Amino acid sequence: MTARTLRHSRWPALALALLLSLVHAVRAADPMPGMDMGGNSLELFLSLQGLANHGPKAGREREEDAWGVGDIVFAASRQRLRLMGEYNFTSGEHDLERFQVGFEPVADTLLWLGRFHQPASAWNTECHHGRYLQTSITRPSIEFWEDEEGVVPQHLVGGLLETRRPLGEKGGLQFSLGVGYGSVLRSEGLEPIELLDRNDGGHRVSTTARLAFLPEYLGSTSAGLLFGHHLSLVKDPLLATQLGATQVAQDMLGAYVDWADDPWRLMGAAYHLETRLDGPAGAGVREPFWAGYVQVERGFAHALTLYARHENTRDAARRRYVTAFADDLVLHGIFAGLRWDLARRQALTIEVSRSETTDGTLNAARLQWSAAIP
Amino acid sequence: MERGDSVSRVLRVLAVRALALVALVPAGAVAGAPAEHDRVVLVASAASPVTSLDAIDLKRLFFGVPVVAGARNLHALLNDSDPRLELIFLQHVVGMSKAIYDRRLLQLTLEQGRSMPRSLDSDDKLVSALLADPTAVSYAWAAAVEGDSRLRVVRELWRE
Repeated sequence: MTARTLRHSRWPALALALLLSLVHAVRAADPMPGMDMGGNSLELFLSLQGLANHGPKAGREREEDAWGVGDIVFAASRQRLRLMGEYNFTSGEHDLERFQVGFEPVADTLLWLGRFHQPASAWNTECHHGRYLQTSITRPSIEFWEDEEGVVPQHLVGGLLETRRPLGEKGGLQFSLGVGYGSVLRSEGLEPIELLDRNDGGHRVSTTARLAFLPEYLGSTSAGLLFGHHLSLVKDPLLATQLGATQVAQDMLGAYVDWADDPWRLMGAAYHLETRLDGPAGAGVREPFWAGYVQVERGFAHALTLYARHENTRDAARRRYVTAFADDLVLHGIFAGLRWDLARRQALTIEVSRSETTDGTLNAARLQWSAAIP
Repeated sequence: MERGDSVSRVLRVLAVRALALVALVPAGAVAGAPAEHDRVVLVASAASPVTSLDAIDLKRLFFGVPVVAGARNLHALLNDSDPRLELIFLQHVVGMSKAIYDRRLLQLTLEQGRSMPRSLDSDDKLVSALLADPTAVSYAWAAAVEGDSRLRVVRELWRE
C-alpha cells in the first residue's frame, strides 16, 4: 500500500478501467463454461467504518482508520496459466497491491511472477486487504503495511513459489518461498516498488518463506514457521545520519498458529526480528526484538463472534530502527470486539481498544460494516 | 400431581398423532425428505473422463483447485437443491460448516485467484449443466441420478 492521495493522481480511474477491461477480455475468451464467471473471479470487498479515538495523533488517518475501504480482487485462469491482482482503494489512497502472473505445473503448486505479499506474514497472507475476511476490524501492528509505518517489508516484486502436498490421509504440508525486490527506507517508512507510479530504485532483494502443517488438507487450520531476510537501502541522508546506517538488514524468524475448533478459534504469531544497521564502514549495530500477538475468538448463536486480541512489541521501544519512523507501532495493546454476520457475506463489528505506542496511549472505539460481493 | 397428569396427557396425545402420521404417510413422501437408506453420490456426465476420485482430490475439486482426469481439468458444481443434501456435502466432503466453507473459498480466491464452484438450485439444472460440460462433477441423491444413462455415478459419498 502506498501513501498516494487521490486528489494528486488520475491513476485510479485509468488503472481500474484497464484491469476491468483485462478481466472482461479473459472472461469473454475463456473456454471453461462450468466455473463461475467462466474460470475467472471478480470479488469486491467493501467496508465502512466509524471511529472515535482519543490520544496522540487521534486525528490522523491510516488505512486502519479510513472510513471507507474497497478491495477488488480479480483472477483469470486458462489451463495452467493464472493471472490475478488486487486493487485497493480507501477514502484517502489507492494502489495496485498485487499483480501476479502464475503457472500451475501440478495441482496446488504455483509459480508466480509479479508483485505479491510476502509469505512470512501470518496475518496478511490470510486476509490480504479484504477486511471482511478478518474477524477483527484492526490488524496487529507488526503486520502493518509499509505505508502504515509497518516495520517489515510486505510487498515484494519477483518470484513466488506456493505448494501444498498431502500428508497422511487427511493432512497436508504447505511451503511458500518468495524472493524479490523489497523496500527502501525513507523518513516516512519503508517504501516498496510501485506498479502504478515512478520508482527511484535502490531496492534490494528480500527472501521470505513459510512452512506450515495443515491437519486438514485445504482446511482453515494451520500452524507453521516463518522466515524472512530483508535488505533495505536508507534513501534519506538525514535518516541515514540519525540511524548511523546506509543500509538496514533484517532477519526474521517466527512461528504462527491459526487453529479453529468450533466454536473457538485461536490466531497467534511470535516473531523474533533482528535489524542490523550497516554503515559505510561495514556491518554495524544489531538490534534484536520480539513482537507478537494472540487473538481468541468464540462463536455464539445468531452468528455472533466475540473476540479479544493482545499485542506486545514492547521489546522494540528503544530500537533505533523502530523509533526512527514507526510511531504507530503498538508496543502493548488490548483489542476486544463483537462481530455479527448479519447476512451472507455481510458483517457488522464493534471494537474497542487501548494501545500504547511510542507517542503515548491511544483509546479507540470503532463500528464497521464489511462485505464481500458477490 | 395435576401438572404431572396434564404433561402425561399431552405426551399421550402427541404419541398417538405421531403413530398415525407414520402409518398414513409412506417413507420419503414428505416433501424434501429422501427415502430411508438413501445415498448421496458423486456424479458426472457419462462422457466425463473421470472414473474415480480419492478423498484429497475430491476436496481439491470443491475448493477450486485443479484436478486432472484424462488430461482435462475437472471442476465442481454445487447442488443447492436440498438443504439436507447440502448439509451432508458440508459434513462428509469438505468437513466444515457452510459459513467456514464460504469463507475458505473467499480466502482461496484472495490467496491464489481460485474460481468458486457454481451453485445450481434444482436437479434439472444440475443435470443439464453436467450434460453440457463433461468436465463438470457434482453430487446428488442417488435416487435422482441413478438409472439415467446420460450420467455416470463416480462414487458413493454417503449412505444413511
